[in-house]
Amino acid sequence: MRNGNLSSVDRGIRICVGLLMLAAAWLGLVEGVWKAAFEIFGWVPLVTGLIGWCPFYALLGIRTGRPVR
Amino acid sequence: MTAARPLASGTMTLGRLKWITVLAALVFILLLEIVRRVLYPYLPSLPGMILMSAAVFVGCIFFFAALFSVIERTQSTLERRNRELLTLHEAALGIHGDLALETVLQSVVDRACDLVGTRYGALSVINDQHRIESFITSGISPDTRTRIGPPPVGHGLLGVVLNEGQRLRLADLGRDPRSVGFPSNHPPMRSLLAVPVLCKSPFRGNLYLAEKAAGAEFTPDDEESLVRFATTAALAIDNAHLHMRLNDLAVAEERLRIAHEMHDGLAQVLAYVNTKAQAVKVFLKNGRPDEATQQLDQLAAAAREVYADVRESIIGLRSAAVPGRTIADALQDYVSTWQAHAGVECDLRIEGAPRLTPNAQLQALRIVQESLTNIRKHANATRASLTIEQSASTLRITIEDNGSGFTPGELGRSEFPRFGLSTMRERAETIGGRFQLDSVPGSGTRISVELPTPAGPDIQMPESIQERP
Repeated sequence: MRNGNLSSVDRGIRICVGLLMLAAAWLGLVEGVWKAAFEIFGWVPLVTGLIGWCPFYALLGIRTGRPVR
Repeated sequence: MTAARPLASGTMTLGRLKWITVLAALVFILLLEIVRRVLYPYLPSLPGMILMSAAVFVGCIFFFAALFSVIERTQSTLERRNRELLTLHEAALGIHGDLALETVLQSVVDRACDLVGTRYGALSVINDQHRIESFITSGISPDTRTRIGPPPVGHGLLGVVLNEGQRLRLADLGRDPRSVGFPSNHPPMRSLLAVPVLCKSPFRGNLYLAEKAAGAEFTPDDEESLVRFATTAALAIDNAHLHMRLNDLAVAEERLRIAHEMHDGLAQVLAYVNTKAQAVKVFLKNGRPDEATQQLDQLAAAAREVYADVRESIIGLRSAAVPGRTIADALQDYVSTWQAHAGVECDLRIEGAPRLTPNAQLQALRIVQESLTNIRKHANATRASLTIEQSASTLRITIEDNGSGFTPGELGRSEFPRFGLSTMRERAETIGGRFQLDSVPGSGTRISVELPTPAGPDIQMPESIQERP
């Protein structure tokens, strides 16, 4: 997204966490309802990290990255 | 048209917003369906229900956050554009307030600096040889200008805008390979923004801004703002040019009138004087001194008459020659001097503040002067009155006397120009007015002139239109 609100560090952490959650679900490291949870919510940090914009931050007015004109 | 851009930008974003709401809702429903399928085995249990609720919650957060973000961005863009347009409007009002060309050009540079927020500004005036004729600056003190040396001639980056007529926006002009010929004592400049000023008048120029506040770079928005301002500035410059030409034309027209008056009045009398002098010579040669004396008396009378005319013309010319005053002031001065000179009492009454353009003021003044001259020369009046009445859209001038009067219909065509009546009528008609003459033998004469007036306050006579006696 053009007007992102995440810093590079924030984005990196989110991408790593997202990938780990999805990997854990897909590689069978977690089972049952946790597997389903990781499979669904692993996408949230991954997608927000990739686009550099977090909807929670946007609603709360938080910004970890520098504004871009 | 560049001015349409801010509105178009806002409208486009709002149009996109409509589709975002529709598409986002569809995507949201699709994702929920996927989540529901993944969670299908766990849905009857408590953890499954919590997960499903959490997924709906997260989806809602994404949807509304995206929507609010677009709305806020659109709103801030529109607010910024409005602020820009307001600043542009104020700057335009500032430059359109002046009519003298030099003042307008300086005002254009100063306002451009304020508009974009820069430390330095300059306006180059280009001559027919495509070289910089003069360089008007802002933000550079006279001492600095002296230290810099002669003004630029149009090499380097200035020449790019000058020769190619293209806009220029640079973050660091020192890094541009086209940047050459920067004088050693020149203040340091990094950022540069330059746009051409395209006028319809003979003026051609370019507007340069350098060193944006806080060391920032010029943005595309700054460039658009300056282009819009340059368009407005071009109109103001054209306006100043036209005003200058109008004043020149008024002065030229008045000089032509003086030349005609000298030809019709002074030159005719001098021819008459010459004829009389020849007659005196012949009478004296033939030993007829009585006839010669009679001719000399007529000669003296003609000289007195022409002296009075010339003196009255000089008073008339001088009455308009003081800069920065209104027609009311000029008329008051003229009437008081005329009364003493003509020996006729004249009441002057001015109702409301007269509003006339500089050219109309001059014509109105000349009509009044011509009428009063007629009263002195031909009316045998003891009292005269001059009334000026300003109504909503017209200025009425009425000149009356209690003199002998005449029948306008019986006045021969040869006599008409002698009284200057046709000239007065022409003067009124050239500025869109009406001239009316009423006279009855034994009951005096009344001249009424109605002139259209512009809306607004009283206009002072600009110095450039004043005649020099």
